[in-house]
Amino acid sequence: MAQTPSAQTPAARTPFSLPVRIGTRGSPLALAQAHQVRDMLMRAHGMPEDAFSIVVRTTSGDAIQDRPLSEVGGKGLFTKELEEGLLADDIDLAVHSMKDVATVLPDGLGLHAILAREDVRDAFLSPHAATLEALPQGAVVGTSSLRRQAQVLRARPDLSVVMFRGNVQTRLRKLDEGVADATLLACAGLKRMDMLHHATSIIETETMLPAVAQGAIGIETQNDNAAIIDLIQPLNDQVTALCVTAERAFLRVLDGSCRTPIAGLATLTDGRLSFRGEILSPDGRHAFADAREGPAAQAVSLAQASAHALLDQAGPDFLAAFAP
Amino acid sequence: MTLWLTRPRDDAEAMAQALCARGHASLVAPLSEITLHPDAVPDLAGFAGLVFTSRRGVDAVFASAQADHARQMVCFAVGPATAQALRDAQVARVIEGAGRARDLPAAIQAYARAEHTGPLRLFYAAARVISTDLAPTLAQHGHELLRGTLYETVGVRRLPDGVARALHGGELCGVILMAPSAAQTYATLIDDARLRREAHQLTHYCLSAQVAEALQALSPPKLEVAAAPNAQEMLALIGQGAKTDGRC
Repeated sequence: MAQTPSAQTPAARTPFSLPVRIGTRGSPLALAQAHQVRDMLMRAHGMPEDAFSIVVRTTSGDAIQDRPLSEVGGKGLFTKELEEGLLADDIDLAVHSMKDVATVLPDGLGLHAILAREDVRDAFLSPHAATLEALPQGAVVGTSSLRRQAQVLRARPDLSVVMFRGNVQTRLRKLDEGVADATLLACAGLKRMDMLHHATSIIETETMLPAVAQGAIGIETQNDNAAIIDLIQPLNDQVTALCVTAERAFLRVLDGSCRTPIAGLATLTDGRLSFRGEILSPDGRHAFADAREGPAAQAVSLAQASAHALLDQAGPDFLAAFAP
Repeated sequence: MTLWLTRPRDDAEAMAQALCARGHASLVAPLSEITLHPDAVPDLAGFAGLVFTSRRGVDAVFASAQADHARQMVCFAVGPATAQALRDAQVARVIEGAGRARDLPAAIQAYARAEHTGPLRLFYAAARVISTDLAPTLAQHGHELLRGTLYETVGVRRLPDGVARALHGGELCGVILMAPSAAQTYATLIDDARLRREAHQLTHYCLSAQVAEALQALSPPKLEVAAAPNAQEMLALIGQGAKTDGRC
């Protein structure tokens, strides 16, 4: 009589247990993204809804609401607890807004799928003006993003910027309460929550270059979890993955932290990659920009070269001045 | 000038031949190794057939004491390469799948229907970590699949012999990385060996954006990504890159 293999072979890892545990932050936008990933997996594999569970983790970035994250410092404020969950095998995959993901991941973890990118542009929201340019002299803009602060002040040095933390709903409420005359939010987030109608106008990327990886959702897993990597592969969009990897390589060369206003965008057309990068001083008084294009295969090198060009333009002390 | 191949030895040697045919020299120095567990093959008398999703499983079974028995059994192969490995091992009856593990249960069911076998009891010569679980799909047709761990891939802990010397001597022009885990191992070992400056002289040929992403810690200035994640596109990328580089 044959022995069962499991009785005499080294332990085999089960492909995955059901339900597949999807880790996410608890904000409405993060939950919408996690549900989007779940729905895409259900469609890709014909799996039922109860084959997945959504596991909510509060991250350091969610817990700290009383000060700008640029003051808190550190990397991965919105991802650390989810990554700990992956390494502890408490969750099978983590869904991230790619702009929150540190450029270097913990050992053993990898970004194994990047979803097709949503709208990369920023939206302008104001009850007082149709556009940023039309805001009255001295108006107040609320944002928690140093990049947006710097770009707003670059375009309109007469405006003042106040901190505007919290999720999309909170920021809309603050706008209603008159805490600020206008705010800026990512179009992608508004679209994912079916709230784009709150936007007063859309700012083209030629006017306001977005944050690195803005509009992209990434799925992080353990590198050796072949079963989960295989499961999420149908969700990977090769074009987005290449563009986002290039943008993150750009950020890595600049060693960007949340204290440095950095913008970068890669786009791919007909096998050619176009890359634009920008670094600014937080007060918007100084800005350096670079644009270049080349073959898609060299996307990462191209973005890195752009970062080096910006460092050359700005000089060695520029970013160091904003370092912790 | 030489290209460094980091895949497990068998795969790397196949790629080295393909590169050689295109005029490129290569150094096979794997960053992961395959360990076979032929002792883990059970007595096959109670099984109607064998299932293989990789050549490694074939190697393990035919290195085991059950090899003669296995040659007389019907063997289901995931695709052409695995099927050829079975034929090379002198297996009498090979059923070839379409190339993806997830399609293999359909091939097995088609065989069972054509041969009127009724429910089959099968042994799966598997890796420690598998990407697709065949058992539930086969169970829907009444077949039983028992899985044995016959091989596993393990990352190396130090740079392979000769690599550091080749890097120091400027003998390498590029490195070929086919998996995120290999890329992460590469970045770690290069840093541990304090060879970052030397590694930055190489062109890093990456199978996919995911592989390139795993190199972020190293930030290599010369990095190229294949147009699609397959061996043909990698060879095309290397050919193009080598032409531009002029060193390889």
